[in-house]
Amino acid sequence: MKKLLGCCLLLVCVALPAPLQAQKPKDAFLDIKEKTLRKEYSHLAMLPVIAAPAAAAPDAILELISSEVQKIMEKEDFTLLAPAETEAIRQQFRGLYANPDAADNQAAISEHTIRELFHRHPVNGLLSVQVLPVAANFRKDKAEWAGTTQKVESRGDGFFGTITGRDYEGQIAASAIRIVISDRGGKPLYNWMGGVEVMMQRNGEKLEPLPQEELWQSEKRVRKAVQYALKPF
Amino acid sequence: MRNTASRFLLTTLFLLAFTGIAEAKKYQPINEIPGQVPETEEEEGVWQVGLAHQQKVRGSAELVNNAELERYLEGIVARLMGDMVKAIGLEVDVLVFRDPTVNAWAYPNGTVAVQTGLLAAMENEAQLAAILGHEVSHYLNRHAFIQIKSKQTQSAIGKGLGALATIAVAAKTGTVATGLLDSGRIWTDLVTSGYSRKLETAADEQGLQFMIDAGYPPEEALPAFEAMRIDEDDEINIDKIWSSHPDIDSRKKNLARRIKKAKVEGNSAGLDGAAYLRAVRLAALANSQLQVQNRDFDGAIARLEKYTGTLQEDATGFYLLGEAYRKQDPEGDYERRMGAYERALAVDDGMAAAWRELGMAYRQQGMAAQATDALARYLALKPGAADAPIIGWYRDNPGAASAAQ
Repeated sequence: MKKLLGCCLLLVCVALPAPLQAQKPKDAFLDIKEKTLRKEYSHLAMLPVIAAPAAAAPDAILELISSEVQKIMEKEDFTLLAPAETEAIRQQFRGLYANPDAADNQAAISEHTIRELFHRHPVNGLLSVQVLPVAANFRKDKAEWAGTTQKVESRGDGFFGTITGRDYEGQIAASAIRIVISDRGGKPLYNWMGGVEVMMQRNGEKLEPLPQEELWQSEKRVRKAVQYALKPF
Repeated sequence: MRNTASRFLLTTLFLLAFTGIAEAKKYQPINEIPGQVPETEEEEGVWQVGLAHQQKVRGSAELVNNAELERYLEGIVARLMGDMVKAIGLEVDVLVFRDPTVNAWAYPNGTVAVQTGLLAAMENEAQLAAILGHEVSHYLNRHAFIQIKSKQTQSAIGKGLGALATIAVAAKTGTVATGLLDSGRIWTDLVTSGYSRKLETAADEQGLQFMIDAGYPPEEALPAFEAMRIDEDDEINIDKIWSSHPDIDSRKKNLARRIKKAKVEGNSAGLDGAAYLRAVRLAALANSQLQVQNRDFDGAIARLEKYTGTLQEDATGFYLLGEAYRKQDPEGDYERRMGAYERALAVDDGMAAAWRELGMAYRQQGMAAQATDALARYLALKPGAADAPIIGWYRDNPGAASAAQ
């Protein structure tokens, strides 16, 4: 028996971007050939890994992501300027403000951080890494998105629900790692994403967020997500 | 046998011609039946869809929203239409869309829409008049409605237009799907890109006549149409009205024939390029900013170099040119960039942004003393700017970055 999870699911996922990722890894390269990117953008400044509030990951995980990205990119013969360089400039500029978190001030700090970064370092472009929530498709309690799959934990089906084997499908919140390489003017040249883990569980016909302490427990999933986000290379 | 076939062919041709005449007669031009259009509820519905879109965009950031600019453009339309404006009782109305695509269209109610890309691409008022005359002809001859009626059952664009007609029907019953109207491209995508070759040719020819009657030199129609030519690899312009007509050459040929035949002498209105540029200044500058945003640096620089070459008294033009140079090559081409900022400041030394960028360029070039002076000028003009603390630090530490390298 198939039943579509309805309003409650949609309410949870409506604000999440769908993992709109082209099917073929070569589509990760935007208006540029991989060979050209490798040749002309071999020296990149890596920005500090950013996690969206809805996919907040522990610092240790962000560091793991950062080091995995650096490891793979260097293996692919890219030279990366460490995120600490950018962060040092940013912190220096933030220190000049009484209220650095005001929107206008943040924008000014970001703009001048990048300008100063480019002035100090002859890099060809930027490599940014973002942890973000996406809407993953799931069916028969199995979610599939951005190169990964995961079983959706469920409870509350009851005895009859279990033996009749109800089949749910819909979209569920999941985390992913997006890696973008852009040129010095901000034009994206590469954009690909690797899925990490689902952030919800099913309780009967409803979806509910997983407790924060149950998330980001698998370093293996994180590593796999980074590998997939860079798989097109 | 051959005779029978010929007779059949002739009869068919006659019937087709008769049908064409009947169709044309069915939809008389608005100026010939003033006050009677829209004639049916269905046509009224199409008008309503157009009006709904206009209502949606008016006052929004999609438009340049400058009364003086609109008045200037409305003046050209009124000049092209002459006595027809009064006869129809039309309130001439022009909307200016912020869009670098070289494009224009007419809504069924006569409102003309032009995009900043068009205004920036024209070299003088006469050229613009050629395009506006074309759009006025579409309006007068009710081409939007005719096109929708004739395309409802045809293929891809027909389906789109059919959808529009459905909306139109919904509009007349007050149940219009506003979600569909929210698609700002409804007119450009569904209506203006769908005009048949026949309607376009008719509008070309009548538009040319309007131009002649208004005192504009008709020869200017040729470069105007040439500016509408779209390179196949121009992504920004793809799928837009003029790009859907790959036969600019044959249209130009047709116009050239008509111009020769008209033997117009003495028409000289609208040839002053500088006056035109002053009149459309805001749109031209906004367009260059859009080009830079879209990373069409070469396009922006070409336009701005031309603009500043003509309007040497415009500080904003020089500043934007400097910005286009900087964004195209952030760590290079300092000479051209600094030259443009200096020209801007020579015209208006109160332009804070130009002082800032000049100071930043001096600093990047290792010219510490000049950097400090220029950045101090910026801070004096804009002490409360969001980036004032950072610029203040640069002013006080003009060689800091060099030390950090």
